Amino acid sequence: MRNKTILAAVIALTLLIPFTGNKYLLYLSIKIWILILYAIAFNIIFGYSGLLSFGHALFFSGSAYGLAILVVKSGLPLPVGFIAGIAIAAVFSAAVGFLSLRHKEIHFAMITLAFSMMFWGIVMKWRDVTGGEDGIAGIPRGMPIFWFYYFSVAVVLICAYIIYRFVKSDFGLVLEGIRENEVRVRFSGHSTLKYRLYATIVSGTFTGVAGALWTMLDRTVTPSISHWSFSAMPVIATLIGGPQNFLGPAIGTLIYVIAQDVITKYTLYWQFILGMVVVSVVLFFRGGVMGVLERLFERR
Amino acid sequence: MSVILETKEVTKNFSGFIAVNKVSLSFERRSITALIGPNGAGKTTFVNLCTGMFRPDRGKIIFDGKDVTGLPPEKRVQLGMSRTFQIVNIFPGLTVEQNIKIPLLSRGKEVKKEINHFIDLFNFSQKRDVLASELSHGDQKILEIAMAISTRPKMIFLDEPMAGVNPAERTRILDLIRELRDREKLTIVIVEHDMDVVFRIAERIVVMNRGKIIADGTPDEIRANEVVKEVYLKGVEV
Repeated sequence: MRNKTILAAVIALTLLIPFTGNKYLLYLSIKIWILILYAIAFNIIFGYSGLLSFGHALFFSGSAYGLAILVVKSGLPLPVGFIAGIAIAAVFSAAVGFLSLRHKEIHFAMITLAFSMMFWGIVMKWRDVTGGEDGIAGIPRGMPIFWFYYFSVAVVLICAYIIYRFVKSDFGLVLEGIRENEVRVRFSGHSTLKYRLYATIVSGTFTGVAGALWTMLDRTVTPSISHWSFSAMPVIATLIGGPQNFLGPAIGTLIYVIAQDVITKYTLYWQFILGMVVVSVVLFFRGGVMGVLERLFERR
Repeated sequence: MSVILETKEVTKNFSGFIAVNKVSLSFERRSITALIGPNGAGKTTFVNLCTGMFRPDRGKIIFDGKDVTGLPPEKRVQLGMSRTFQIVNIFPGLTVEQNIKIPLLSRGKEVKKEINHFIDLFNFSQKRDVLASELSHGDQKILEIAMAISTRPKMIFLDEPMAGVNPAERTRILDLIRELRDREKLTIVIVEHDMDVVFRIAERIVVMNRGKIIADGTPDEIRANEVVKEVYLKGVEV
């Protein structure tokens, strides 16, 4: 109960950010909210069903490019592009899930990585449609950034709530069972393939929501969001925050983005320092930041 | 009495080693059969073939009138087959209740009521919210039986349910197995090394050696069987 109060208070405080009048802070905050959704969506299959996807940039950028192409090049209205982008992410995740879910562990990670890099290749080469390295500019946001902040927060919170209900449902329990012991789930009469496929589609679809918001925030898309390093982001954030806790990926994302922002002020080698943080978290703090916090509270 | 499971000359070969060699067996409904034999005789492999862990290289498996030879484990479970494993096979990071709930969900009906039924049946009411990894070894063995029963099977394979279990818990598991046969109307196949347990519980004993069946009969017949004495029961007081 106390945790919920703290969470509500923190969220309420962040609602004041647009009133500070600081444009950079506003931009950074929206970015964090969107990346939080990205990480939470990613963690559906990582933390709950135990599958490491290294290709979530495909769903993120699939939605982003879908929106950009349909709105800028085909002239469709923004809301249509928004929905269509998410639908594209859903279709991509269904296809990738269908083709790669027979594989597990490192094999699954490599196959998802390969699919996402294929898409990156297409984005780079198919200049007529995707704009190649330059990407696509001139995407409308549909509202001033002041209101876009609240729009993003609302979308992220609603999506996070739906994901929360999803992973805490009976379906989510079977997913956790798959993570714990796949053989036992099969001998409990469940098709693990079916569960993993649905989980991948849900994960990919919500990743698509994040991608669509991102495009509207930046008003441009570039191939950097298709690159594998963008798939690594939720992996790293989730490891820092703790995959076994629903809010772990959110906390991890917050730390990741702020650390990146602060460290780059002092050194160009922010990835080196972040790498050291990740390695020490994985080696010494099992369960990430949230895992450590949980154990601290239990001890009391 | 009618036959619930029939294997027809099932064979399984592991790169040259024939683990199960043309085994044909049938099991009557609501019977308790023990499968015994020395290590490496092919007992567990036979169970793995019946339950879908592996596919046989040759032969057929008929369950409840249906050819299940090529079906994956989850399909066989849905048809009413269930099992436990030699080494405890549960969800260590989930609670006792969640462990029982997952198999129940595959049946889909009245899950809440059924959970309480199984928790009471297996005496877990005090340990509902305990993590499975924190249970004693004996309790974990019992939890696994509870999970196997929660799928509401017609037939269950118990692979060494007494392995590593202390004497007091042994008696409890033994009573439980009998109760399951009577109350849940189950057909039970038990693979076990403890001859005391085998002769106390089984109505029929099948002896395997080197992938083949060398004897099949009532406990009295098996006790008197010269071949069995020679390969397996040598030195064992029965």
